[in-house]
Amino acid sequence: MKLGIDVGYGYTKVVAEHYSIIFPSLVGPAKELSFSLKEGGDSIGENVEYDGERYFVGEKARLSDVNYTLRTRSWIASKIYGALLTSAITRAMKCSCAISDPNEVIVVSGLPVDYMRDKTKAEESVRKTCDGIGLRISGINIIPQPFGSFFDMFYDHNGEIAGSAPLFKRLGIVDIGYHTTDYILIEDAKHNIEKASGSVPSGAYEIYDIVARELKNIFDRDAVTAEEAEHCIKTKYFKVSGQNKDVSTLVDRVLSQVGQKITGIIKSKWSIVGEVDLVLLTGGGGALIQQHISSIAHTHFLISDPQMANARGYYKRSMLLEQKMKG
Amino acid sequence: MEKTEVCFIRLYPDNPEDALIIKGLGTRRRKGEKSRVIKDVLYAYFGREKSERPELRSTKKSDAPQHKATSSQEAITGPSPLLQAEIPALSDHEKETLKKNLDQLSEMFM
Repeated sequence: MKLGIDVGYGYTKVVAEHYSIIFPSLVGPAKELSFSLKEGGDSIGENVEYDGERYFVGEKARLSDVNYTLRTRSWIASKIYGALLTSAITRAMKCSCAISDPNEVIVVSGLPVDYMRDKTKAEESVRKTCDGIGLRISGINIIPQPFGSFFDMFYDHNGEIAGSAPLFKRLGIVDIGYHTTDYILIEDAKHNIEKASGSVPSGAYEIYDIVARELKNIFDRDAVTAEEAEHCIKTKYFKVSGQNKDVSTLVDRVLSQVGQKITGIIKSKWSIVGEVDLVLLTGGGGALIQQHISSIAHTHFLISDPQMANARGYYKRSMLLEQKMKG
Repeated sequence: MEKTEVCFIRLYPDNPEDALIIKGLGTRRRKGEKSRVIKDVLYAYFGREKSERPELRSTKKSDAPQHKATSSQEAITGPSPLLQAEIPALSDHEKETLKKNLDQLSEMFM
C-alpha cells in the first residue's frame, strides 16, 4: 500500500491508488457517549488509540468535551499529530483492503519548509503510528510540503513525467495553508534555491480570523466563528437577523491586506535571485489570494483542488520510491 | 492583379499556420463590397469553427479561461482570467533533460 499523507493544521488529507480522504484535523479525548445518532458505533478512524490513549478524530472530535490544539513546531512529535496519522492510515487501510496488501506500507508526507530539520522526528511519528497499528513500513520519505504540489505537477498517475510538464528556468511554488504559507523556488527543475525558500506564519486562518473579528464589531454580535467567516468569504454575504448583508467590500479589503502581506515577504525573498518565470499557487488558501499573486510573477497557475495537491504529489512520490526500491 | 486580390488573415496569433485566406477579392468593385465579403466570410468561418473545432474557439477577455487538460495536468485548471500561462509541450529531448533534472532533484530528499 502506498500513501501520500498531508497532515495540516486545518485538514488531514490522504491519497492512495484509487481514492483520497480528507477530514478536519480535530482531536479530542474519547469518551462514552450517552447516545449515538448513528447506528453501528464509530466509523473506522474516528475513534483511535495512540500511545496508550484513546481519541476522537475528525468530525467525531466535535463530540469531545475539549479539542486539543497545538500550533508549535513540536506538533509533529505530539500525541495530537500521532492521533491524526493513526486516523489517516486506519481510514486508508479500510479502503485498501480489497485492493492491495495493507500490511506493508510506503508513506510519503511533508513538513513546512522551515521545519525540515525535524524530518527525523516526523519519520519517528510515522513509524510509531504504524507500529501501533501493526503495519510494516517498507519505505518512508518526508519532503518540504510545497514539493508535494511540485511532484503533482511534474508526474502523472503512473509515476511517469507528465506530458505537459513545464520546463521553465525558475518555477516558484506558493503553498498557502491554514496557518502557514510555504514557498520554494526551483531552478531548471533541478535545484531548490534554499535562500529563496521559507515559511510565513500566515495563512487562510488569518483571513478568517480578521473577517470574524470585524463582522463581530460591525454587526454587534457576541461571537463570529472562523467557520462562519469562511462561509462569508465564499459567499460575500453575512446573515444578520434573517437578512443577507453584502460584505464584499470588507472581504475584499481583508483578502487584499493579507495577500499583500504574504506576497510582500515572498517577493522580497525571490527578488534576490532574479526574475521568476512561473508561479504555481497551491494549498487550501491558494484560491483566496490568487488575485494578489500577479505582483510576484507575470505568469501563474492555480492548481485545481489545491487543498489535495500536496497529498497527490506525495502519493506520486511514493510510486517513485517504490520503483527505486524495486531497482 | 489588383492589390486586394487576396486577403490573408492570421486568426490565432500563437499559431501562425492557422490563417484564413480569402481569394478573389479583386473582382469586387463596388464601394464597401470587399469589406462586406471579408466580414461575411469571417462570420461563416467562425460559425463553423465553433461547432466543429472547439479547441480553436476564439475567446473574449471576459470568457473564463479553458485549458485542455492532459494526464496529471488535469489537476491544473485556469489561472486567473487576467493572466494566462501557455505551457508548451516538451520535445523528446527536453523531456529527457527534464527527467534527468527531476532525478537529480529527487535524490536531494532521499
